[in-house]
Amino acid sequence: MPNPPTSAINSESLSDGALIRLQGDIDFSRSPGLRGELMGLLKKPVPRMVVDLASVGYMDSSGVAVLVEALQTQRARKHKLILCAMQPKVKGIFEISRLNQLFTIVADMDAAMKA
Amino acid sequence: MESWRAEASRGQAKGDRQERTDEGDRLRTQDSGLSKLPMSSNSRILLELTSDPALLCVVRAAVATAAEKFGLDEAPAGQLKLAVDEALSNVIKHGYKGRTDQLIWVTLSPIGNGQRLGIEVVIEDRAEQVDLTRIKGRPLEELRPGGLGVHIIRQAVDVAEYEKRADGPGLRLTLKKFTEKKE
Repeated sequence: MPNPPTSAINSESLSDGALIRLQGDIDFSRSPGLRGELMGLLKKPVPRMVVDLASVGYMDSSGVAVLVEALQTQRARKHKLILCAMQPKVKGIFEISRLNQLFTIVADMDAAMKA
Repeated sequence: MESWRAEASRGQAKGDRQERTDEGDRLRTQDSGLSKLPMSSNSRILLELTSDPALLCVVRAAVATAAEKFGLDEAPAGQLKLAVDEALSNVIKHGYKGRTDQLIWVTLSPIGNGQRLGIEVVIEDRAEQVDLTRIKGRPLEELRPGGLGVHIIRQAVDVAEYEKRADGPGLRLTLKKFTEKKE
């Protein structure tokens, strides 16, 4: 699927944080932009960051690395990073790299708000 | 095509042609649901691209389509697509240091290993030589960004072999992915 040239994310506020919706394929061509946007959002404290991956059909290790960096930042602040609505094709790379054991991965927004 | 490239293709052909011709033909004529594939065992796709990350999606689409055409199911085709994407990203990032105007060649060929159909992907570049012993994944228990590409490549395919190109700078990576075993 061709990647949209626009921003990889859109965000909205939650009562205790932010919901980040990613879209399109996240590969080496887009991960630098995603990193800039995501880490920009994390310049201020976000106690609960929920990343909605429902519209992401493909992710490579460069996209995973951005999420790992965000998780490190959140953990250092004792804040939460929750991945939700991950498609099976995307879940595969988390399983191969065993990062599914380190991230909080939930099925939907309801579960994300309770995590 | 430059001479080194032609040599590489000839070398590959000498090594694998018999494998492709005999086993590939035999498997593709078995009653495996794959005999409908309208192609010869000598089918081959050669992609030449510049080292521009924006082209990764094009190669992924080509790999996915070729893998399906050569007999792989969706899941193994997806794993191969991921491995090729990671390998190309490594070439661009580490080999060509992010330069987007350098050349990379990707060759896709159907293969057979006696029991299963498969696809071979050869990725070649002209980046500066690297120490092959340094191409390895990092420990997975570390939570840090980066360094996962080589691990993912080795997990995603059945064969991943790096070698230096004999007659010039750069690497040649051979990936092989076979159909899943049927019970």
